[in-house]
Amino acid sequence: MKLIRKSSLVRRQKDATIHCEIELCEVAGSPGRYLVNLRQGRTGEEWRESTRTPQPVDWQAAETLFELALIERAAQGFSDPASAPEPAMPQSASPAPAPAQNPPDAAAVTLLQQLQAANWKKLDQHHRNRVIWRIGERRLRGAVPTMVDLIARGDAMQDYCLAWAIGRCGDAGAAIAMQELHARGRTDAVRRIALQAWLMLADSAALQAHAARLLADWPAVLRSAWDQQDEEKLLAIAAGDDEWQSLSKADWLEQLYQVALSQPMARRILRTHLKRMRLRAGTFRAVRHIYKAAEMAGDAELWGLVQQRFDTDTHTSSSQWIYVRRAYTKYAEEASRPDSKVAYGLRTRDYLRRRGWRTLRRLGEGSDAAYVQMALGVLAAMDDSDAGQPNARGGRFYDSYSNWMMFNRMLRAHGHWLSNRHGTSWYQPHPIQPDARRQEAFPELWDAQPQALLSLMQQSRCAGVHEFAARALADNKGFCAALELDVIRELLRSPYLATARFAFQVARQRFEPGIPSTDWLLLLIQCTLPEATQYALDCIVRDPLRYAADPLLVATIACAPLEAVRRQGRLLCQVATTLPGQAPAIVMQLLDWLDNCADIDDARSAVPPIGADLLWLIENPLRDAAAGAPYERLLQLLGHPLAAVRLLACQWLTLHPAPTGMLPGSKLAMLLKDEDAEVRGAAVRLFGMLPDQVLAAQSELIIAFATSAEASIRRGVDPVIQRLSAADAGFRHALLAGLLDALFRSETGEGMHADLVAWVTGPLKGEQELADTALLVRLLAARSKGALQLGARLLPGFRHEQFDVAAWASFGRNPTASVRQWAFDAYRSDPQRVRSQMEAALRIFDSRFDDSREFASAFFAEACTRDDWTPLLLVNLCDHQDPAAQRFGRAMITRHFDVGDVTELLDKLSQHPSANMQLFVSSWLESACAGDLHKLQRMEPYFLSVLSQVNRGRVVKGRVQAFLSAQAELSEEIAGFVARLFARQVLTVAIADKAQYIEGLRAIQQRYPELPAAITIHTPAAIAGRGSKT
Amino acid sequence: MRFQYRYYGETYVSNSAASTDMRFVPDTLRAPTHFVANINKHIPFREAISALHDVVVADQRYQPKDKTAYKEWVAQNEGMMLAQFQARSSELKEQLKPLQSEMRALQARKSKLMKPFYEAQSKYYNYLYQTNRELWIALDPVITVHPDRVFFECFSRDESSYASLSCSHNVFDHIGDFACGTTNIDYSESLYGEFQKIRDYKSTRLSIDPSGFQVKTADDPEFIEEKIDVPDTWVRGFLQVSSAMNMVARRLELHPMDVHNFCLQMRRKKERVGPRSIRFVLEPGQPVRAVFEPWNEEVVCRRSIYRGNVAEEVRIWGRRRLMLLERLIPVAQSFTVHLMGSGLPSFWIANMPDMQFTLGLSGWTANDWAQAGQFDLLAPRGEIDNDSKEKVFIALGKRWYATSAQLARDTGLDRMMVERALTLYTQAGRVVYDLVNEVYRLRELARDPLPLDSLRFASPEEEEAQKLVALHAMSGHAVEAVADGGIRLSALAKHGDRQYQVMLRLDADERIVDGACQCNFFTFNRMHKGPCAHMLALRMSRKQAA
Repeated sequence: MKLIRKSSLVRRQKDATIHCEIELCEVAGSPGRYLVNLRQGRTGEEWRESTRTPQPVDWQAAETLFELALIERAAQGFSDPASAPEPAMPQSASPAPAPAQNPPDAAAVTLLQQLQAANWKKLDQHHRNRVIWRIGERRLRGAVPTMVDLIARGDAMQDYCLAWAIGRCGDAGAAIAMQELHARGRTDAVRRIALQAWLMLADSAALQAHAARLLADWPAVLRSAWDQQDEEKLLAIAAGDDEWQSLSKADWLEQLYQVALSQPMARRILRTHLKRMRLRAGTFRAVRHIYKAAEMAGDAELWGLVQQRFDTDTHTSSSQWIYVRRAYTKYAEEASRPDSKVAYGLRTRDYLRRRGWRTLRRLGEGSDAAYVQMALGVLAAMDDSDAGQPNARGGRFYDSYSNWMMFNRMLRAHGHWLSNRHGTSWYQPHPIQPDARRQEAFPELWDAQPQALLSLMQQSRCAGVHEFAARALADNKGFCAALELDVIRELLRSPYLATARFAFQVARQRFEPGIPSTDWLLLLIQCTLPEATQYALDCIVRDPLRYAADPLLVATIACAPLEAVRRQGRLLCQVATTLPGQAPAIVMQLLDWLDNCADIDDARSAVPPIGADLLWLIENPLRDAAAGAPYERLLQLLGHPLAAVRLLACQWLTLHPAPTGMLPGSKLAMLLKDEDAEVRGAAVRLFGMLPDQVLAAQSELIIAFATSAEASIRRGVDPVIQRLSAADAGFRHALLAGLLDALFRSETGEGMHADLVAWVTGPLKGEQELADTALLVRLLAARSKGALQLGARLLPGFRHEQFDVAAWASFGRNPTASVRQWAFDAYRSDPQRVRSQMEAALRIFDSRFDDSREFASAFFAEACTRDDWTPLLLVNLCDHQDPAAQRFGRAMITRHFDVGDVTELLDKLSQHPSANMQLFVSSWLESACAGDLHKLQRMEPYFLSVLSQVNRGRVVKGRVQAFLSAQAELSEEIAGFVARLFARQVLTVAIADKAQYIEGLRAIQQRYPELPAAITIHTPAAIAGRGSKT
Repeated sequence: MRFQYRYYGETYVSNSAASTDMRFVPDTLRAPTHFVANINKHIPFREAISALHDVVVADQRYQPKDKTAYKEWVAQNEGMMLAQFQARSSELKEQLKPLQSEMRALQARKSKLMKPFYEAQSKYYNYLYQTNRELWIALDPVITVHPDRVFFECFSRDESSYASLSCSHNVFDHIGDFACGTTNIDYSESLYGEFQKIRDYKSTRLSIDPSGFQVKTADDPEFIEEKIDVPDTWVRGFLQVSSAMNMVARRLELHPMDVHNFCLQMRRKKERVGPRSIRFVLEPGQPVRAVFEPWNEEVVCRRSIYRGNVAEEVRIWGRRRLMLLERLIPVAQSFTVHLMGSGLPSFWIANMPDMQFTLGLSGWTANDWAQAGQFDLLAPRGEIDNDSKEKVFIALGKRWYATSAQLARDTGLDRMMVERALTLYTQAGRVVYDLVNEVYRLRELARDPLPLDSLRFASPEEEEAQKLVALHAMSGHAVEAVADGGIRLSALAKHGDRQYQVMLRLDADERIVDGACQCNFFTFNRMHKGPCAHMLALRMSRKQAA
């Protein structure tokens, strides 16, 4: 049996001392199994032995039992005599190191006195722990030796507090003690905090060695990424799932923190990851540990970052019960498991938020300068992108920061703010008014460190923090007066109004009551503060000549991001051009600005409007100077990364007197392939400035530009087309062919066909090809909208007689209304010609448009006579898909045909599949085929299809049945034909029909008994009724 | 599944007073297939091709009523209606009255002013709708040219009806040069209107146009590329129905008027409750009787005597699809019906002179989980090695069409083996069985072979069920009738080392209405994701057990 740990406790009674020993041993022969034994008795008497482990248990259970026994005995009044006897020593030791730091205040002295043996004895365990903790809070180095002696003399919490305090006190002499405690500590927490303390005390070489040891044990993926210094990859791994057997993600993060103490890269990774990571079970433990370690070490940056995350990230669960592992469990029970599925619940979050403020508050109450440092950490982590929305509920008015507890505690402690009980949400009972007073907690601590406030104004990304810092710093007149010009300049450019306004006030104090110099004016112009800009503009208006003399100022105003300021720039430019030599200097400044404008913030969206204004300047007041700008510089700008600048350069070049021929071909080719459509358009315009003879040889390229999908390119090539087509017939010819080809294809870009049509009907309208009727017919029959449009535009230039009637009919079907109208006019102009080509003319009925069909019905009804209609035409019309055309056809038949010649007509119409036509035909049956077997036989398909209609066509069916029955009377042959039909149909189950057929067949059989019988007639058996007399 | 076509130009039908010219444009991406001839049996051809069109656009799935307009109206008027309801005091009502009358007048004026606009708007939408009607067609029909026949095949949008119009070369005059093969044709809604104009006094020319194959330049603007995404279920349905054709069937000959009577039953009555089946009562030597449920009305086909040997009853569902045959009643000489069994596909062949129109109906109209479990249609029926399979296919390729006996002679293989190979090719959509001539025909449904493995099963559950059935894992079958006419099946499923009690309730139409199982899939999803493998297996194994 091997003794692992032993506690000897004593309880003093009036006249006796009771001893108690608790020991934890490893069972011999079975490693990993442990026993917890107790023995208790008076001095000089036999002690009673007992055990807490009937059977050996594992380490964890044994440790728990051991601790339980300790607590139990402590509750009975036992205490560790070893912790008390020697505190005599600190009496001499503690005052000695204290003067080396600050002179010990009264509170510190009281604390140190508590450590003295006499006082220490009187304290119970809880108070002892508190004393140690508070020594750590105040970093009383003098107490370190005493504290080292107290290690392992109390409960685990005492060890924890000792390690915490020793680490904070920063006495490197205790490093080895901490290392020991790390190795031997009673609980995980003690060992962890001891390690932390050691890390705080260790020198950099030891830290490096520790880091190297940790790194060596990392999984290969991590190690290789680390060796390659691949931060992205490490971050990606950190954000991924838990994937290694040997090392959990949480452990790794904790190790990363330890490594970060000596390796800046680890710190960068940790910082970024802590900002992004989700606060969830699994890794939250690591966050908690890092948070506490950072708090202990006074690492304001990491501590503030995590603290702010507690304020901005909502908790995962707020209920006391939770459903995990297929059962409802108490949240607290689940959270205390090592493999817990829950973390960062409501209570945890509230606790951590309160703890953060407690840390700060105690620092502040102790007037510790570290308050400002730690507060800076939190304030620097605040970001407006996490802030909420102002709102009002139930008479309470909240603003964006109302739910940030630390923000409100630190910065609004003395404002008109109320809070809920927990201090987690802050409001005002009336609409929130701006408050000019200082509201922060511990203002004197902030006043003592104006540099900290300045750093906040320089770095913070939170408007609320800027307001606080600007307000607080404004009171520090001396510091403000001593601020350097560069700093003021930087603050003036700040996007946060409070800071910019502060800087503006400071700046005004520098030059008022005089007139600001151009340097200051430049600054104010570049500032984001509207009143500062306005102030600067007012100054300029008061004395424009003075300021126009500075080309840099003029150029800066002309290139200002605000449109209102640029407008002033136009004015100033006009004034400046009156001064000799000023305009070229401004142009040079503009060129400089253009060279460097890619560096300004958000250049991609900011530069294009500035470029448009600059174009106005170089085209108007600065035109002469711009024309004299060095050609080389402009060529350089053509390669600028910003499209807007390239565009301006192209436009500038078109103003330049130097011949376009000087432009290197490669540059032009590059511009024509530019990614920006506007630039390509401008490049095409540049291209268009090449001499005519050069362009004439490039007609294919011009056609390609003209049919480009980009509107800007087509706009660019327009002047070339106008110029060349006026002069060159060959070019016109080639261009027309190209444009027509493109018109027949579908549109590649919006408005493309419209542009093409404009050119064809504009500069090219005199071309011979356009007068070609075949082309027009093709255009109007095309599917492409552009071709249709052009056809419609050209059509009025033609005479009706240039086309045949078939073309008229096809124009009458055109989707363009004006074309159809032209066709109607054509029909009306020459009815004679229409009547001579009726078949072609009737095709106008195929139109999908009502107006054509209405016109056609009216026109043909009126213009045509009986002679014009042949049966074929009418049948064709009746066969039409459109029911209106069919109706018109039937109307024409009824109007123009008499009984004599319908046979052929009906023979054809009877093949029509529609029910309407079948009905129509049925009314002509008598006249068409009565009494003629041959004709009847030809109509057989018609009869069959009528009689086979399912549950439909009652009228036509009745007609046909009656007609056939009547025909059967006429001759035996016909009767045979009818009997065959009826015999087929008689199978129907429709009773009315069936009766008709049976009756018909019976009649036939009676009349022509010699015909083969289709039915057998049974005489129904007479059944005597029940009441009959026979 | 994505199908890609490239047509040279568009299919068009030009009609003049004296002639009709149908020019179908074939897919140029496939092997050149062309055929040009005049039609001599005009009216039957017209009716048949119109019926084919009806199948292409048929969609008999349940379409829920569109209530958006009503809901909009309610949303607009809800406030007022509520106010009216709540305006209890007579004083308020008095105040409301003049305001309402004023508003009515204003609304009347507004609607009068806006009327032309709305009319024009609806006309415009109608125009757009008509112009884009091609979007209605799921997949262009397939045309196959063989040395003896030309046939058109299509499958309906609702994934349930297959149709094939097979024309012997006798239907055509002046047959020009032709190339055998299969191709897709560009098909559009407007063609239907043009088909209606076919008459026997007009010369009618059918051409599957060869010109597209001669064009070499790929970027000719005449080329129209089409990429169509066809749902897997559609392709599966097509293959299931066509592979059912060479199954053993009961064969009936019906008089056209019998089909007329069937249609009459359905035209006259609308069923509100199931079962919605036709029950064929077949007795050897007796007229075929068809009982229409749920009315139990019997149509006796007096001139159709059943020639089979065994008396049995066969039920088929989705009977409203038979109305697709209506147009063929006057032109058909007779109808041949092939019944594969209850709930299985059935085939209705309209016999016209030199032409046959085959309508294949899947077991049910809707292709959803209530009918799940048709996958056995695509199951291989026997083993065969790849080599012999290839051999059979090559032999068929030489002849274009052949009986299995002929192929057995050509390849020297056993006839059973040949049949198995042909079945596999039928399931893969590469061969089709011609019910009329009882020959197998080469017909590649798609340019690229269809992925049969992924098509066979609609879900992993079906695959699992198939394994269970093959392993005879279901035992202890019990069937009990339920009061509403349905039945309740139950059995014990052995799955791995576990056993589950499975229950399945089928309604009178034998559709799955409910089920229960002890498996994990059912516990998690209930019936939301359809029946579990055990239920499917139970349904499949029911016949086995019986």
